[in-house]
Amino acid sequence: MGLFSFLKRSTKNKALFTGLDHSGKSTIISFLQEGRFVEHVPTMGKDLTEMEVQGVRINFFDMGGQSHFRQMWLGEMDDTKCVVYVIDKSDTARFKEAKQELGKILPILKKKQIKLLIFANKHDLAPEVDLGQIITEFELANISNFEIVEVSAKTGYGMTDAFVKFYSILTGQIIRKSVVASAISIYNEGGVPLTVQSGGDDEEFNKKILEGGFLSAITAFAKTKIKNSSVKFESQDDGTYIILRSDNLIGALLWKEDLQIPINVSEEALKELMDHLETLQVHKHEEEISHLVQQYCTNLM
Amino acid sequence: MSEEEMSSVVSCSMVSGLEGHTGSNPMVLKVHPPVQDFTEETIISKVLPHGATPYKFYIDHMDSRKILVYTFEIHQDGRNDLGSIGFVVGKDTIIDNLKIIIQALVKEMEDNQLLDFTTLQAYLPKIIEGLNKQSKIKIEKMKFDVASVLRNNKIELQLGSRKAKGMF
Repeated sequence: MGLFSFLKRSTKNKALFTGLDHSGKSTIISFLQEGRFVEHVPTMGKDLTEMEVQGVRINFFDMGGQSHFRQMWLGEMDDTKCVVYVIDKSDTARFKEAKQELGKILPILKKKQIKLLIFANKHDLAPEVDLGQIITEFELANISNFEIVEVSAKTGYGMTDAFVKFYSILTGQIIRKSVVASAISIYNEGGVPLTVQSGGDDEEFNKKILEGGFLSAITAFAKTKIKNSSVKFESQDDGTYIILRSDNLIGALLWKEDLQIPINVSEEALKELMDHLETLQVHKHEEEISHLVQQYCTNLM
Repeated sequence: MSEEEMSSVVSCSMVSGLEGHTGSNPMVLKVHPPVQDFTEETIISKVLPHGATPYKFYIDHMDSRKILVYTFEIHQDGRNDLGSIGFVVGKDTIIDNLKIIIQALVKEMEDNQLLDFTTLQAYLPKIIEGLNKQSKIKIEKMKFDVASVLRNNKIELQLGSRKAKGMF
């Protein structure tokens, strides 16, 4: 072990996030860190972020996507284990430019045997653009070794699945996505139900959640008016409901023992969801809430 | 640097930015007063350093000159812009105290919805003048009193300025 070996260790799991400006690289990285949507100004040059997952340190190199900075991508390829190329799938007018830029880095990836993961971001804005279309338009079938996933760093759609894939490509280790909730329901601050999502999408079950004793518990909780407070409500039939009030909404998560995760993990996940919904100010757009919660729940169930 | 430039609080200022819309690139929008060796190419990395994020200070050097930069966000309907205002500081300028003034000025411009590239470029000479004379900076209807901020914070912008005042 040399004196400066710790410096080498710090770049052990280096991942480079590239892609055109406005494709959502910084937003993806911050969603992976914080579990919620965060808006960013454009990245000036490059920005470094570190994250530790199950004892493995990951260095995210967030590379500016403006034409002025694209030359820098190539200069950062040394020691890189994985390049994430982010595409804005809603901006089909820039597919040609995005394809050209990807084409410039492919020879380096091949030469240095760096793995490529493509994030087709902004799925919420263009669900109709499917992966088949992107594979065709970017001629990805000609590339020998890549993976592609659909995500939305705004709604959270597919982010956990994408991270699981990213982690496995980067480290060679498998992590499993945890199911943290059997059902999630969201209410306005007066306790009126707005949406319910359950793992099985069982309509009868969803209906049951919004009825009976549980709704009474929510109604009673709604009267407390204490922001950012939470309670646990045990139901003999279903499991434990965690109820949490944010600034403008109330969220409830159904936790069961057979999920095989500690209840505090589920509680933290509900808190992140509520923070995310507050960031998006969904209480002002109640008509969108069902769609937004459904997209976010791809990470939780 | 001339004797006058060295003794002033700031000798030169520049506004730069990276806009939030697609296809943008970092740019130096205005340097006042113009300095021959301050081209976009020579100073862009100093006024918009790599990894710069809003509401932070950065210090760099250009030959013997010290450049203090403050970054901020300019609100837009789509993605916000990253902006920066840079100052070449005099040899006696107390940088920590100048930071307090700049931060307060940018905050007041933001509160008055005057924080945009056009206004900053137009009023850059007034900002430099206000800092050097430690007087009021008038930007449209907004009046930012440098002297009063210094007084309220019990600070000075230059080394030895209290002594000098007492002597005269």
